[in-house]
Amino acid sequence: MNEKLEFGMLRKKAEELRYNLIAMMDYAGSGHPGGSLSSVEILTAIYYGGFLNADANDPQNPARDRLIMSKGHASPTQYVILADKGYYPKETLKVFDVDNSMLPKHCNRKLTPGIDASTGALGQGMSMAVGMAMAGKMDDASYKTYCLLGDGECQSGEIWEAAMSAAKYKLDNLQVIVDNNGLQIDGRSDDIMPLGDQRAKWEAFGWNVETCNGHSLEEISAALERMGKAADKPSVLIADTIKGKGVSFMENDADWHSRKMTKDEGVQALAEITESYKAYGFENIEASIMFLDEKELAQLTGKESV
Amino acid sequence: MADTKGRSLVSKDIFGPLMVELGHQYPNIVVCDTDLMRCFGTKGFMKEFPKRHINFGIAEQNCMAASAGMALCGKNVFSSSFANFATKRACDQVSISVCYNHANVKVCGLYAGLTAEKNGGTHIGVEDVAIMRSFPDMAVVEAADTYELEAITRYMAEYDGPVYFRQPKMYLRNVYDSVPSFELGRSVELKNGRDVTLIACGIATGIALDAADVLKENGIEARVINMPSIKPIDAEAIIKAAAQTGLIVTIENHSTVGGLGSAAAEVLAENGSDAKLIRMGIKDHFGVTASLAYQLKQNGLTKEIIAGEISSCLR
Repeated sequence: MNEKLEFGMLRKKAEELRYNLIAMMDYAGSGHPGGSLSSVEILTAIYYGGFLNADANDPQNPARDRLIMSKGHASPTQYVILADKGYYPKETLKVFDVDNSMLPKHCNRKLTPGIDASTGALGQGMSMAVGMAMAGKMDDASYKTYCLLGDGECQSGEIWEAAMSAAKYKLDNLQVIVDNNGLQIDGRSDDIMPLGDQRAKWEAFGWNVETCNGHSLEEISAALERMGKAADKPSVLIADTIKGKGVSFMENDADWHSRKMTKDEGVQALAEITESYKAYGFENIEASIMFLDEKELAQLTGKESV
Repeated sequence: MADTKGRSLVSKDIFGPLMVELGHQYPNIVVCDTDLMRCFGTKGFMKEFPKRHINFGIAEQNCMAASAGMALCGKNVFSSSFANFATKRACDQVSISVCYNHANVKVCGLYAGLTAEKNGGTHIGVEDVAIMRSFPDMAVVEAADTYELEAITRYMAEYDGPVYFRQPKMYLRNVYDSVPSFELGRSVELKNGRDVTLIACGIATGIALDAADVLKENGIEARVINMPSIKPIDAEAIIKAAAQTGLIVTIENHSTVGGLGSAAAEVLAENGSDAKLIRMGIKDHFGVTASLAYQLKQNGLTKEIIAGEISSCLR
């Protein structure tokens, strides 16, 4: 199902996913809001912009494109997308992070249809993606492997071992995106352990490097298009993003890496996304809610006192 | 005594050519190296199947996790490094990318235990079995000679799941005179006896057989059990031997902490056995820079020392 939405509809979809994402984490009282919100446009572009060739009705198809969430803590973004795509009933989002959930806090391929690798141990998803791309080359298969990294994750040595091997084996079927939000658990990445010139680093490792505004669906899509045409070398997109994007009090605050929302914060977050949705010219975002009934949603939005 | 003539005692001599044969038979087999083709014996595979061979260089973590990625795309991946590096440098990758993902990767630990000899403590893996045995979903195997190495390798070409495949650089002797059958979770009684049971794996199985001969001269009838499948372990055989012989002696080319001896202790204790257990192996220290013969002696892993221990215990 290689669905491709026009940019207007792509933006509408991104905001609806963002709304569901906040609602899901608020409902669960859990999740990693910062890095999930920063990756919304990237994943929206890949899943709905005509890039990822995957079918919800056949999630194990060997010919499918793979998508590895190496930053496995941003699973919530992928979960709302997979629900929207029909990999599982939308009501499943209610079980995010409950005990022994099929939607665990970090991606688990054995529990969730549409998840291609169990990730969360940072750095390893990148290597697994490299291995998948290598297997594709061995089989002369035409599938692509996408891999989403966090910039903090790039402090891990394994990323660069993997980068070297991808260049050696000319993995032009591998497309890595760095969700470059500049923050990690303990603060600014530049303070914790500076990555320096990321473009120069990836180029020095033999990669085709693209950069873009990671919240511009147009820019992400254009970059992915160019990456798809690069031959004989792997491609990386350094997508500059804002951690917590879309919720004013979460933006650029490292505390929101994995903080739980209070009831009031949840109400405000949903209200802000509703406002943005309207500002884009769309109406009634609440109708897009994938998994809550009117009453349950009213509790989260503060429109009903309990 | 098995005939050793014409059969190499060196793991790579048997493993390398066999992988070329199996490569033809099983198109999904992939071999991954970490700059140790000359130790793994896989240069032939690389030449025969260049597309199905990846040399990751000195980057064990990426090798093991990328192997998992290949396995998740249908490959049966044999990936190696020195036992110490495959299991400790890449410990997290083997645990998470391979086991947690249930990836079909055969993690091959080379130059296992004291057979790394003068490479010394950095290369002599004495705790690799302990670590690998603790990983959920991981099977742990080690052959007693190159005939059994062949049996295990053929089995692994069919088997789908994570395995730690421990390989010494070389064996001291052959135990079998033809390729035996192998099954995960199954031990092999090599010698029957009623006074004591020696349970061993890897190069220690040959030492156990020799020790049994020494014991026989002293009038002690030793049972010898080869335990190529350390996990899952053949608990039934251990319990039966404990009940019938009353004294169990485990012998291994590995630390006595966490390896075969510990596995046997767990079985005995949990089944309420009152048999005595002696664990022979490397006694909670790192390897040293010395020949195999020297280190075996230092650790009490010679037939004379083992027979002596048992004789004094039974006296």
